[in-house]
Amino acid sequence: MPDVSRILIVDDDPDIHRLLAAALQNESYVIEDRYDGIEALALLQNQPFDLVITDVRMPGMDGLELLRRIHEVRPAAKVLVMTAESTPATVIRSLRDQALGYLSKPFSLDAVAQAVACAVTAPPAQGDIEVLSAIPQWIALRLRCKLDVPDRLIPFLRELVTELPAQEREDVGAAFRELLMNAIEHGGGSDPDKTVRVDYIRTARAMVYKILDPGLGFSFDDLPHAAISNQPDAPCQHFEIRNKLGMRPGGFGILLTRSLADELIYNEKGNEVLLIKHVKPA
Amino acid sequence: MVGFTPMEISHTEIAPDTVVISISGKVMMGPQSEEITNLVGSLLHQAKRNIVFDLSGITNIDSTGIGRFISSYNQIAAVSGQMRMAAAPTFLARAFHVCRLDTIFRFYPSVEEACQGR
Repeated sequence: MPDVSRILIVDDDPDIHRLLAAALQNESYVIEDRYDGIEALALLQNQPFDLVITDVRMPGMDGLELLRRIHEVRPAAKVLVMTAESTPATVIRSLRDQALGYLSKPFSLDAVAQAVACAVTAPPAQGDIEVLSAIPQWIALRLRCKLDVPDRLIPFLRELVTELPAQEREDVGAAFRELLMNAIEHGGGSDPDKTVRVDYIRTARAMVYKILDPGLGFSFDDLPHAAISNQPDAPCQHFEIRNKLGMRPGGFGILLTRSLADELIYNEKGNEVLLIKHVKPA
Repeated sequence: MVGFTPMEISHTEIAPDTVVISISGKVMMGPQSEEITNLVGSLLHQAKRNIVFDLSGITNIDSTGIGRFISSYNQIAAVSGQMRMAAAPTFLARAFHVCRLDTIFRFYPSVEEACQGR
């Protein structure tokens, strides 16, 4: 990572530039400002930046078009998209065109500072999250089995469930993350050459997350290293087994997910799972 | 990435053998959360056997994060020390409850009560 990160901020609203300047006051950042996409693209064609933060809604070239055009000239460019008018279509396009992250306005200074701090050290998006097909009611993704992918994906998917109360949105996100981490780590062996398929399906009465991993599956009868196998009076029983097997601390994923989701259904093989959140019909 | 709050950890000695460890941000898989068990190990090595965790600043936790507290508990118990959990936000208390760890860890509403508690 360079000692100083060059950040380009693109937004037609001067107030946003002032807000971001305040949030990103840091001797490690050098910031340049542009107020439309065409000027920003011209600048990027001549010089690289460590991070681009672009608004979506701008006159002339909007931020999503800018995102696409940036990656034509600099495929490894890291771009955060920000918008006050988040829609499923915006989320889908941001994912398709390899945005690294997604900021929904209004945001706090802390949230921006933390998102940028994470983004400048993150590797470029570069195909880790591939959109296979997408309509607002059904989004299909292929993800590389890399442990940082869930945390990059969840901010996008969170924008699709804004109708949920905040705590329920966090719960669904946490449950999905646990299952996806299991799929990547255990199903995919954290091998970046392997992939996991994720489908998000929105029906009138449910949000359904389907995760398919490339592994051999598992049996609930053979999970001594997971907390769901513990006797009720021995909540840490599995921990000793994990220690002996040299596994990382944890093993609570399925137990936690069952409490956070309305339904959790595994297929017979154990390499595909449905996480279901019930919603009231509109 | 939005809402990513790197974990921060600090500690304060409040009595010769008692330390309050304050944790904020996300306690999740990765080397950062390992700092919790590393710090506990270091403090035990200095004969600080009574550890109070101030959990009020934690914004998110996953399975690995919960595991770090179990590892800490095992370290502390091995030297006959005491571990107390203080000021857990509602979501965190619920996670520990689901994992039945509230039958093992001692929880207090505030750091002050945890420091005074027996």
